[in-house]
Amino acid sequence: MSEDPPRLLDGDSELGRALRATQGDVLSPDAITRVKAGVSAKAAAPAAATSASMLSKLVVLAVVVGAGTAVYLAASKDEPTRPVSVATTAPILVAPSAAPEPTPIPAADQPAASATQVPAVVATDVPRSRPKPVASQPPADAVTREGAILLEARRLVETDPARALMLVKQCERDFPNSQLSPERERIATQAKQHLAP
Amino acid sequence: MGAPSGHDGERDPFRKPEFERVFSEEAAYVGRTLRYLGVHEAHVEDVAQEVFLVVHRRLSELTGGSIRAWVRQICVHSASNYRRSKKRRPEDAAAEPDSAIPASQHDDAENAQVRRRLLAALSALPDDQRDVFVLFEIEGLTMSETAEATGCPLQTAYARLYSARSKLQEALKGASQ
Repeated sequence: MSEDPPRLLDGDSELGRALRATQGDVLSPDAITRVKAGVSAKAAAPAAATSASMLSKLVVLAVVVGAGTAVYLAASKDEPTRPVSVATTAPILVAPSAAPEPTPIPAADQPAASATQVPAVVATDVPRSRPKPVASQPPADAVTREGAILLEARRLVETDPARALMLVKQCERDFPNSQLSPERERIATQAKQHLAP
Repeated sequence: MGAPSGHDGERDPFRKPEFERVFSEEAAYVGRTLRYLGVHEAHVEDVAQEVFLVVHRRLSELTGGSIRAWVRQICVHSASNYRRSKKRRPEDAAAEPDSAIPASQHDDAENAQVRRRLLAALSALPDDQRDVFVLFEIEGLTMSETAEATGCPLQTAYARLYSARSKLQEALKGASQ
């Protein structure tokens, strides 16, 4: 640009000499490689996290909606033998996405895992003759939150039983009318066994 | 803003570049810019990463102008943030830049010594004067690009440049005697 002043870089002054010395002072190829690797990793990380978060939310949503629908159908047909328990199993199954499990359950395996993980809780927990199960259901997000906490408690029951017990007590306080209380009791019992001298 | 007068190629008419190209053309110089804008040698790579993460995120928003000036503007902001955080952390301020730059394998000891003196003198300048001086004299931006990158009017950029030159010439003269 013509109105720019002459650059000192081109002159013979001490400052000009210092400026010329800066021109070779650029990042080394190794440093550039490190910078690029860091940028690639950090640029990819948010996208991956977003995808995983979206996937886990979709799984939660699908399971909760499916469970709610089943409960609704059971209630609307007024058949006491229809298992209301479907809703109680759902939250525990989706919780792995929220907890840092060492071996997280892939989303595709969720239905299979549900059948093997908490079958007994359902059968013994809910009174079959309850006339209006839908009205007494806790909100879906509360069930999901409690399921996540209990899953974390179950994960910690052997390695940190005190913490697991604390999580169970937290659930008892926060969700006093939960249908997951048998699961809570089971975890609490196991934690106490591990805490016992 | 016209085409850059610096070290990279022609970019007129404007074509939105890919990130890979911007990185390959600018990475080495971004390191230098950050260093002379006051980023300690030990932190140059980290701050350079931050600069290129911003470039990566915002490249799609670019609608024209000099890529080099835009990248240098991000450098100015990142270096400014760095300097502010450094002031908040006295333990970092203890590591003075004049002892930070070693002579590279492509360099001789005399050049390294000259650069250390320049860095020491630059560190005594007000930040706004330092930014203008580095972008114009070291990075080769035009004055209008420099003004845009530092976010000041053109006449203000000129005033800062002349003030910085005067102080640096005085400082280096004293240092060499």
